[in-house]
Amino acid sequence: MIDKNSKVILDVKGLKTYFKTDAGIVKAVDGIDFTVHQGETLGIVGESGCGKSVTNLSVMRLIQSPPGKTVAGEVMFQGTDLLKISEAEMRNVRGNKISMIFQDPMTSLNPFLKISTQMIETIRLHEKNVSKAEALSRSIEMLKKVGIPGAEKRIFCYPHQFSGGMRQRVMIAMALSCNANLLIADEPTTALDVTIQAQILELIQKVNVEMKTAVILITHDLGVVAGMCDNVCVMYAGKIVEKAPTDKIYKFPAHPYTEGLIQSVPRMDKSGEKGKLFSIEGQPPNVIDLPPCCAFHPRCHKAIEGLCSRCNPPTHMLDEDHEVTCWLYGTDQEKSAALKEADARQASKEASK
Amino acid sequence: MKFTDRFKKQIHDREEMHKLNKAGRNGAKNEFNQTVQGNSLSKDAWRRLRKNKAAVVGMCVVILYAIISLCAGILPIYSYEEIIIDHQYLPPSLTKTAGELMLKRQLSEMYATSWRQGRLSVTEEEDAMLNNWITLDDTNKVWNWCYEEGEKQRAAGTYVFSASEQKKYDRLQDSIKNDIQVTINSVRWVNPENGKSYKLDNLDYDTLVSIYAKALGGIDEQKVRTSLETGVNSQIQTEVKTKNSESELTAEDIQSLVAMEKDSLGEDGVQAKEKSLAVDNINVLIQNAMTKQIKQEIKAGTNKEFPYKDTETLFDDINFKVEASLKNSRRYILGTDNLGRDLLSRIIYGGRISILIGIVGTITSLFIGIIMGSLAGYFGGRVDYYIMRFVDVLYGLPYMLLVIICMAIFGTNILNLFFALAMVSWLTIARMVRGQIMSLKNQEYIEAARSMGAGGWRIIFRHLVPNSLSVIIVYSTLRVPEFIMQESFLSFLGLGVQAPLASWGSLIGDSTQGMTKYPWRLVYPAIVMTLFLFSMNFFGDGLRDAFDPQSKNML
Repeated sequence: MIDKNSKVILDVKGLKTYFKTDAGIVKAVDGIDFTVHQGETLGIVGESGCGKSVTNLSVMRLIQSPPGKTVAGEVMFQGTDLLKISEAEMRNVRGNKISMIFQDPMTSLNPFLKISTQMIETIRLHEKNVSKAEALSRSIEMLKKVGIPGAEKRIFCYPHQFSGGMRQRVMIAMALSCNANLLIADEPTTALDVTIQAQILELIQKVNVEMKTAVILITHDLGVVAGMCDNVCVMYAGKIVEKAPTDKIYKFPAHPYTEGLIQSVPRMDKSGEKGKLFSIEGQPPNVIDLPPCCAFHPRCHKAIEGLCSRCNPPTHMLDEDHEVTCWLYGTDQEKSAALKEADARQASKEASK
Repeated sequence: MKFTDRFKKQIHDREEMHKLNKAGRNGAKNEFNQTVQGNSLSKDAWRRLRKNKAAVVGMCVVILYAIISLCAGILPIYSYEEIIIDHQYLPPSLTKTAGELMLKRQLSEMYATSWRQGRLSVTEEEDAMLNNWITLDDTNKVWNWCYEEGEKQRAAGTYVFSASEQKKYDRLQDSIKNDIQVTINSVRWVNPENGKSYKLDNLDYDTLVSIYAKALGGIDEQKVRTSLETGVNSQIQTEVKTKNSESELTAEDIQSLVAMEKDSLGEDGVQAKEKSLAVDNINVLIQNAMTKQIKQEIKAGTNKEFPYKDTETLFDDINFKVEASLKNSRRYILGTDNLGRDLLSRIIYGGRISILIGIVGTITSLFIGIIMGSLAGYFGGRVDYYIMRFVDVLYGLPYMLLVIICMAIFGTNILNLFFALAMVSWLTIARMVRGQIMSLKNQEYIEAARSMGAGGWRIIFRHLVPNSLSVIIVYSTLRVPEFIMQESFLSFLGLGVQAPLASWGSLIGDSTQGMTKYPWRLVYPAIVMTLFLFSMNFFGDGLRDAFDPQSKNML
């Protein structure tokens, strides 16, 4: 468990990343806030296409532009706003202070270069005064640390001679070879089978504990989150709908979407009514044409008629560290005020027509 | 840290690296204790290439060509630019020397004339046949037939040379036995004051004049100067005349034109011309003197072994190498051309230039094409738009026309040829590389490289270009023959390399005059060139299949 007083190393505020497409503007990330402390493991969960990966690519400023653009917000990393520094300075942050592990280890290593070349390159990119031999021995050490057998010899192999799990280990070794403070793992286990998954996750956890590296773990596997993370952010349609420590989110899921997600994980000890697995109704929303206000209301079984579709839900603190964005926890006063406002807005719109 | 310490550390590091490298190469062991051998994409491709017989043969032929071209200087062949007028149009022969061929030609000519004069006895049928051949323009057949018939009759004693014929025959026999060819090489002037030697071209005008005066037998230097001046004058005059051969010029016009030309050359230009004239004249003087000397020696009865090589000194302080050989004992395996130059060595030297143009052109166009294509592909957007529109515009122009215009404007020399060909041939490569890089740049490992902090240039040249290298290699091997073809085409038109340099294209182009009479001049260069183009194409195709394991036409 992390210490509450430990340093905040990443503080994201109001981050918005939009993509301009022919069909319209896609609000992939639409105003999200979260913080990562030193040594913390933060999980980001959500359905496919809810903006988990884009969030982290925006933090790294790796969004292809055009079509994508981070239009607003700030990303404070160790006191500097990553969105404001130059590209050259950003390059120095990437790989050096923040590293990333990608979803598919099969394609995330350059097939043309030996493992040694790629690892040495990464180290020497950031530490210019390290000699090649030094970098090589450091790479071998890293490979040993991530559990590659015969690292001294295997380092001279090409990526295609490694299995998927080994490649993912190599990726992790590369990501950590510069002692990064923050490791972003973008679905690191999706492409691997279950036993390897466990090994890789264990490895990430080990790194997290031993090297005090903060980890952002992007996944849609709630089981992984339960085992690994200190805090969890649940994203839906580019927004964070619930944010809480892991225990709390599993014990008291506040947002109907979180509740649905947790219930839809098959469990051995519990079965739903008639032995059926719970599933959230409907399809994930079309990101170009999101439902108004709370994007989840068409699928929500607790939606409040006439309110959720007309007024943006406010964020409530259920606890000192449990945040939820839903009308279910609003007071009557708030609700009526919001409804009034919505009426006024509609009236003015009609008047202008 | 002290410099020496740093140096030691570097050496140590390198050794360490080497050790680790070696350990890695000696076969890594996997979890199951099996040896894992590193096998890169290129190794795999090589394995596949070896299975493809046509490609291997092609590769061998290409390598052979390369070796021959590289070693052209040390091969035992005659000079490719040495003109021996007596030897013009000698047919290819493995067994006969130039003298024998000349004799045969002389004899057939004599027999043919005597047939026309009626001294060679032929039947009516044979007469009709010969006349028929002449109307068909088959002179070679006539000559051959006359030669055989004449020899037969001469041996039988029914035919006797006339006096003038006998004289001609004897003179030829004599020259075949005794004519020598003297070649002068690396002429250097030794400064008597300090003993240093200089190339004649590098000397200043005054020294050159004094040397020339000495060589002419110690005449007045002023006379030499005036003679050089008039020499250059007449040179310019002939130039002017050939330039304006269509318009009729009076002597005065010519005078004024010469003056204008001289003005445009400037004093230095005129002097440079005078210098080169003096150098040429000195060379001729030396050659004549040496020829005379050696002939005298032969007449005096000194036995000289031919070919004869020596270093000599003439006119006190001019050193040079002399090479003398019996001119008519040469053998021309592939015959000679219209100036009596050895076709074999011309083909070899021509191949050198053709292959060089193919390779240099490909490298230049690759260089430009890769840079432009990768910039367009990687940065995309506006950069891509402008580069590709520029490429499109160039594509729209007829490129051969561009090259021809380029050559016409900047003059026809080899460098301009390279430049002109490279300028218009990078377009396809740029497009291809762009396409490759566009498809590769969205690969995850590129994103991974970016997330490790690599910059644009690093990603392009370390990750993207090597990954598209297989396509580039294949394309460039197919590109080389294309360049050779283009160069041949230009040379054929007379815009390529200029004599005395040769290329396959210029050899073929020159040979079109008198194609039926002297077919070997066309056939051999054509065969050599075709063989090379074939092998290069087979090799390229083989490479393509080897680098693309999914390709359908696997062998």
